[in-house]
Amino acid sequence: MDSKLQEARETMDILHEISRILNTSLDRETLSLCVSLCESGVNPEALAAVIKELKRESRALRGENAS
Amino acid sequence: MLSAAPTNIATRDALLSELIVQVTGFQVDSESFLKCRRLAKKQIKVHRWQTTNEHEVIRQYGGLVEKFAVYSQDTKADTLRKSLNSLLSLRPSYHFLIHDMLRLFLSLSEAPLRNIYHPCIGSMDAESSLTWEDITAEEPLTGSHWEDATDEVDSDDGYSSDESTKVCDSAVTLKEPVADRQPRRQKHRNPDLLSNPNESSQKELERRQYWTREKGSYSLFAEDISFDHQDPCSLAPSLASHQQRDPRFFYRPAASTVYTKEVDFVRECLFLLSGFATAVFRSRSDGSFEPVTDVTLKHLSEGALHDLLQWFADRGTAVQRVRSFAESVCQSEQIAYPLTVQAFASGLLSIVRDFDATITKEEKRFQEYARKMPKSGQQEVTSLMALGSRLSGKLDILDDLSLMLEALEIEKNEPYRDNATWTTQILSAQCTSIRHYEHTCQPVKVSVFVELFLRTMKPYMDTIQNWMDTGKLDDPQEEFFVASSNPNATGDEWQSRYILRESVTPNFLTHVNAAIYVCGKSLNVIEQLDASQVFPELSRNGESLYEATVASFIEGMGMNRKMKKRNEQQPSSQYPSKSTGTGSEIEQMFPKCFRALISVGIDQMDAEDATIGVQFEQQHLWQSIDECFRGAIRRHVLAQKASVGRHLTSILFRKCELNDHLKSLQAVYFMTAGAVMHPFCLKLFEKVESRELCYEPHALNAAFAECLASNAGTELNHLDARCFDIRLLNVEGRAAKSSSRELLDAINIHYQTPFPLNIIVTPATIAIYNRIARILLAIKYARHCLDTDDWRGRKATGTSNLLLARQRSAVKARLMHFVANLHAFFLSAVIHAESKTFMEGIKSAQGMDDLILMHDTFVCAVRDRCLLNEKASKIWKQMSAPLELSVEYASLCKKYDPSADQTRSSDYLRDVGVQSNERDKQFAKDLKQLARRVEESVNFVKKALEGLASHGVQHLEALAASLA
Repeated sequence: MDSKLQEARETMDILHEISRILNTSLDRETLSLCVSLCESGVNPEALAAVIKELKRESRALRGENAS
Repeated sequence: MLSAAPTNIATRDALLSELIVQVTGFQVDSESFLKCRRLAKKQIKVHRWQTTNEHEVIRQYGGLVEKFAVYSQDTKADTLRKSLNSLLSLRPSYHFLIHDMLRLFLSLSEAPLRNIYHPCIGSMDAESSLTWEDITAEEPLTGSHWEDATDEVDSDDGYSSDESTKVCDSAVTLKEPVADRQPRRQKHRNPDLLSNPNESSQKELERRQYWTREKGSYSLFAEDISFDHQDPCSLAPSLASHQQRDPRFFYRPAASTVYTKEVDFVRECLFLLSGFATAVFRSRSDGSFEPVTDVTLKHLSEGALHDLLQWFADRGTAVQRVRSFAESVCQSEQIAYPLTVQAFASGLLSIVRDFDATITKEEKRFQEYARKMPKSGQQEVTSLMALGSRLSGKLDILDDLSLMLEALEIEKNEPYRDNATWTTQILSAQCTSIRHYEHTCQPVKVSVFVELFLRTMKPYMDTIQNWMDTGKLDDPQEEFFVASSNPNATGDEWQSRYILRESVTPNFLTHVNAAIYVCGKSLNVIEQLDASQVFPELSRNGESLYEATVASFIEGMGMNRKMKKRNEQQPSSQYPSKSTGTGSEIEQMFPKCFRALISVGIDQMDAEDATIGVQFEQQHLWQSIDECFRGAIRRHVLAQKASVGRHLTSILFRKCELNDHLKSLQAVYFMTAGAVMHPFCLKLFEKVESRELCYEPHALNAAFAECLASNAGTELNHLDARCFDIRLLNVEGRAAKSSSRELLDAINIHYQTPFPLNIIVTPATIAIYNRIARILLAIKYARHCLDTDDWRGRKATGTSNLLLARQRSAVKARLMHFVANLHAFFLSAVIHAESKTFMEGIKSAQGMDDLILMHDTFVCAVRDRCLLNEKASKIWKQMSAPLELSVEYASLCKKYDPSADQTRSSDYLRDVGVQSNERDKQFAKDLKQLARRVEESVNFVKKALEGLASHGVQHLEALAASLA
């Protein structure tokens, strides 16, 4: 069990490293959620579109609040 | 965590809610949160994306690694490659998840090239080392090594003087306190930034560098990026903008692109240039090629790649056109192409074979790179740009040849084009190209086209040689500019049997085509006159015309004949020449020095030292190739023509007695044979006055023969009465009513000229001879009329008769002076002078054309100097007036002189009703009028001649003075 856990952690480390190289702006927690969602069968392109949309909405709302 | 498998929708919704909170920071159950969740659920449930293609993802990541390497971001490339290898080495059950995540990263990625990445400790190889050489090789102030803290500072500025000194890797000292590094960077950092030496300051510093100017968060293919005109050198927005705006890719279906490596494109280009079918280029209906758009590269925009491939496609089209034409002509067995076209195709084929050998070399080079590349782990060396630059020289030549072929092929479809036209166009086009390349200083192209031209012209030159050596047309395809109009014609051999077709003369032969034409015709005449005799002289020392011309050309270009001989000992050229059947001859006689020059010159194109081309250029700096070649041809053609011409002239003088015939013509027409022509003229005038001539038209020939026979044994032996036929022309039916002068004008002397002298003494020149002869007859007749009025023996019986005699004598003397001086001028100043010059000049004639020209010039000169041409017709009309007055004078004397003819005079006087005692008065009156008319006429002639003399006709000044 420990070895599986260790393997999963290493995998997450590698994914996070790749995520950083590609400048996806995903932190570890978000990355974990994405992994879980992909595991649950969510299409990665659709998930990426959702994340982009969420970021855009968030920026838009913040902009409205600031103004 | 990864092994867990949530399956129900509730779990997924919960995860989605967590994600929304994590990304947006919205409170759960807030309005914004609910809106986002609704949107996210809908988007996840209904979307347009397909399941992940593992191979596609791996290819894209491979391209990304390559791209990082291309941009010298080796840290990212290495880390990414290692990370991917680690991920893909996991258990297969994870793979679907890993590929999904990798695809997610690709979708979320934003300008990874711009991202400043610091690898964590675990991801780097701790044993890697870095030298100062590596550092200085990179851009200043970039790279992780600037994060190092090196304690081994041996100078004031804090740098080590030894470039080979190992410095620690950035990963090892990444966590070192920044404050420790401060002294070393003191001179290079902004003090503001030094006060806050963290990652943001590092980014600020990077932002201020010129090579990392702030551009915003560009994505390579982001759709919302517009081109920044202030920063046109930035690759990412340029590519993105190009991608957006290029209409060639706008409507292309998504996911239809296959990414491949550049090495594959290089291979496909080599296939295309070798004439094989390729997957990257497709053929259009017109035979040209175009690149396909569904295969692309990762490190080039599709527009840039298309432009690059289009260049190869255009060149491939050119190569294919040249190859197809050459092979179709050389391998055709049904169509009998003209020999020149076959030689041209053979030359093209050899150029194509040479190019194929170059392609083979490129393939070997390409294979070496392909083998070494995986071992060395280096970036791909073989690139489309490098291939294009190596082949551009030869491809340019083939492109030019293709354009030439295109022009020729278009014209080939013209219905009126025959073989001669086609051949002429091919030869002329090459000659023009050589001239163009020479003027534009392209020595290598000049060399190639000269070689091709020399090969192409070989059959044509052989045809010329055969024509000039034997006088026979060996031209089965009718390519030659000399053609036989009627092979069975036996009439005018010189003018009508062979025709010179100026319009189908190649442009490098226009200056000698007439000489070639005349030379062959002369040989035909020689053959007809002296068929058993073999023409002995050849002016080329046993060489063919082609060999001699090429050798002279090479000498003219300043090349050394020793070089030629040395090269002739080398193995023969590799050029195939299957089509012409004279390949071995071409190979033997082709200027090997040229071949050597050309082959080395072409090979030098992709080498560093192109001295051969320069050498070639310098050698003909002061004389153009075109001029040199024309000079070489002219030299041999004119030598052969002169040789044949001399031989023909010799035969004409020796065997055909040209000299005697010319003398006979002058003796009769110009009446230089006084011993014969004077009695003949007396008989003629007698017959004219008695009108006997009108009823016995052949009496003149008999009289002429009689006069000639009376002079047998003298120097006029060459005169043959059988050659002359003297008769009246155009006076049938009205001869009896015509005046003496009209009868004399109707006399025509025909001279039966034997072949081949009828080529020189043409009917046109005989007509001029006749015109001069009639004028001389008119003068002689006027003089005859004056001479026959002999009244001096009779005594004057009264004062009036004495005065009348004086008056009569004065008029006669005036007329006699005019007629005698005019006759003397014609005979002495014109005929004898011109005849002497002509007979001396004709001895140096160089052939039939020279003879024809000299004879025509002589006859025309006599005519013009006697003022008998059309322009001087009015002058001559005035000059002939005293001649008519002379006849009138004689007629008047006969009317009034009782001693001359008593019966006729009395009848006349009775008819006019004049009394006998008044006849002297009337005679004196008529004489006075006649004298006035004579004076007016002579004065007018004198003034007219003086006017002409003042305008440059000098010899008329003496005539005017003598006639006055």
